[in-house]
This record gives sequence, structure tokens and C-alpha cells, in this order.
Amino acid sequence: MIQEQRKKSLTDFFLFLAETLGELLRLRNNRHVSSQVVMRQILFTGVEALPLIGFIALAIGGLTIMQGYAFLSNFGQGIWVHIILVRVVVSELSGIITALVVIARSGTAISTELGNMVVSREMKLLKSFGISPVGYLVVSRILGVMVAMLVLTLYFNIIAVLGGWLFSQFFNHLEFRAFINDFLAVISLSQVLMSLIKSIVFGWIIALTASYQGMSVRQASTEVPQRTIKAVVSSIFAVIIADITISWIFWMFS
Amino acid sequence: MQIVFDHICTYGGLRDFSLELQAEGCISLYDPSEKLSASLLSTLVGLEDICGGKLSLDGIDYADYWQNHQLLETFGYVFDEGIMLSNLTLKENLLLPWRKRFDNESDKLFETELQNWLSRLELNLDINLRPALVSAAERKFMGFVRALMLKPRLLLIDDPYYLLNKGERQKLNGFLRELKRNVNLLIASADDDFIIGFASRVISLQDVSPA
Repeated sequence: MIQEQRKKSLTDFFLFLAETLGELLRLRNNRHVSSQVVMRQILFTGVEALPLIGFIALAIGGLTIMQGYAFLSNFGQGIWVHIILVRVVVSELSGIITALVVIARSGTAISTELGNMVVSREMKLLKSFGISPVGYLVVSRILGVMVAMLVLTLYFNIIAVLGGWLFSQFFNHLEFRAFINDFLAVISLSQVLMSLIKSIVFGWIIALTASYQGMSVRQASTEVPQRTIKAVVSSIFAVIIADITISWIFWMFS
Repeated sequence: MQIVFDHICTYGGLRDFSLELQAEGCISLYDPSEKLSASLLSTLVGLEDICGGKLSLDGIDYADYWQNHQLLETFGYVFDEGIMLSNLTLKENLLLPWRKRFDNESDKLFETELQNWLSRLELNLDINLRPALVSAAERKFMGFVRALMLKPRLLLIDDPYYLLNKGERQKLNGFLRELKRNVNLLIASADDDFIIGFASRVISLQDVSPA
């Protein structure tokens, strides 16, 4: 009781992180009970978000090409619009926008669900089975969100490029093969790698933060929305800081 | 099973609490406050951390006991509120501890066991529903089914009548009277039905005051 009434601090977050990593290492022992949670998380975070991500990616790809053509054509440099698509969309926007969508859908859902589970004593139920709530609920969600983020970011990139080509038809007719050739000529392996690393790191940050906030609910259901708000704000901050850090590291070594 | 609480303090409700009991047959813990008995059961299944004193099971220190025993084969715990995991269906709620308890048993045996207990409790409900879609009493009865399917050495029941109406109480009382012949029970209750003429031993926690 004394422990539960103590205010949460940064130390608690790192203890939670350590516990999560410890359970991650013991995942093999709990595979039979947690694979279902992983699959459901991938379904909710990944598959069910495809239409929204697809719509946003199509619009972003198209608008980038449109704005790029409008600007670069003034200097007779319309051909370089693909560079903008690579630099802006593949390297930066795909990860960030996908992360924001995942925070809005899955981060809030994870935090709310776990918070409600604490209130209804479901964590105690798991403990009474000898099952670690962190291992069963948190690690499974982290893995699910990381896989879903990776797939969604790849999907975002593909749809954004297709959207870019589709919009480019309005300005000058360009063969799809020629567009892709131009695109592949300017994109590098390190940019693709950076995009994928970002997506995995963002997925880890979002799920970990949302889970921590959800598990930090103590007794009252009124704490759940407060913790969810904290989960969203903290996730956005952490994702942007991680984005800047990863981009800076790749920029340093490129 | 011999259980010894020796000046136990927990972060929950136990303060310098001592009790020795031979958990065989049916034992009722009479506790009008209901807090002390709930804490006692919670401590046994590890829900309350011990901060002082010594708890032993069959003469072995509590922490050491779990090196050679599984929690689910030792204790079955029926919560007062009939708690179920909200993200799983009723069937999945029963399958989760079953798979942990009987790693190599087939799902077919699970189905047989499940149907057996459902018919014994005269429960006629769709087990593919989420817990939120059934009544609190049905959840409570499913909590009994879940615990009994795991065949624990000792079944811990916290406030059996909680959330039940008069008819459901009678049904449960009849079921537990039948059950106590074959299963070791430790019941925490303040209801007369479990104190007078029910248990083979009644332990009163009335005079043990939490500090």
C-alpha cells in the first residue's frame, strides 16, 4: 500500500524499462501464452490502420510532388522533384506521420486498456496464475507495435511514391518505369535503412511509453484518461527526439 | 498442506500476523472485516509482498517453495469479484492458465473438462463471449470453473457470496458442499452459511487486529 501511493518518478520508468527488457529475454518461456496478444496487436496497430495510412501517404506523396514541381519548375529543375520525395517523405515524413497515427490509435488504446485492467484488478489475476503482467501484456504489445510500425512505414513509403507518380501525371506525362528509375537513382540504401530503423525505434518508444502510463494507474478509473494524455504527449516528445537523433547519426556517417 | 504465518507483515493488510494451519478438508476463515482474510489469501498467491516475518508452506520457506512447485498446481484462487481478463473471451480466459498449468495436455481434454464443470454448475452460456457481456454472477461462477479445472492442491475462495443473489447463493452453497468432499478448500467469509455446520474447521480472525 505504501509503495502504491508513492508518486511516480523517472526511476520508476527505468525500473519498468529494466523489467520489460528482462521479460523480453524470457519471452521464449512465455511464448505459448503471449503469441496471441502479439498477433492481435499487429492486427489492430498494423492491419486496421492500413486504410488511414494509405490515404495519408497518397496525399503526402501527391502534394510533395505537386509543390515540388510548382517550385522547381520556376528554375527549369522539375526533374529533381524525386529528390524531395526521397529526402522529405522516405527519410523523414513516413516515420513521423506513421508514428503520429500509431500514437493516436494504438498508444491511446494500449494506455487506456492497461489502465482499465489495473483498475479491474486483472493484473492481480495474471499474477495469481504466476504470469508476469509485464511479460504477457507489455512485451507482447511492444513486439506487436514494432512489427506493425515497420510494415506501416514500408507501406507508407510505397503508397507515397505511387501517389507522387500519380500526381506527376497532372504536370507532365511520365512513364511509371521512368519515374521509378529516377526515384531509384536518387534513393540510397542508407536512407531506406534509416527509415526502417526509425520505424522500429518509434514503435518501441510508443508501446513502452503507453504501457508504462497504463500500468501506472493505481486504483481509480479517473486516472485512466489522465495517464492516456501523458502517454500521448510523452510519446510525441520521445519520437521527435529519437527522430532527430537517428537522422543526425546517419547524417554524421553519410 | 501445512501453512505457517510467523509474524508476517505485508504491504497490504497483514501486520505481525501469526497463524498455523493444516490446510486439509474445508477450512473457513471467519473475518467480519473481510480485509484480513482477503490479505491472507492474497499473500498466499503472491499478490501481496511480504515485508517482514516468515511464511512457510510444508515447512519450506515461501520463496524457496516455488523453486520446485508451480503456483497453479498449488493454489487455485477464486476472487471475490469473479475477475476475468477483459481482452479475452470466457473460453480464452480459461485456456490461458490451463495451458500454463498443463503444458502438454491437449485442447480436447480442456473441452471435456470444461463441459464437465459447466454442467456440474448448471451454467448455460456462450463461452465465446467477452466477460463484459455476461452477468457478474456468471463471471463469478466461471472463476470457480477456471480455478477447479487447474486441479490445485488447495482452493482459496475469497467471499464466495459476493455479487450473488439469494438463488445463486443457494446454488453455490450446494455446489461447494459437494465439492468439499474431494477438494481442499480455504474459504474467507463472514457469512454464517460457511461458519456454522459447513467447514471442518473455523478459524476466527475477529480478535486478530491489523496494527
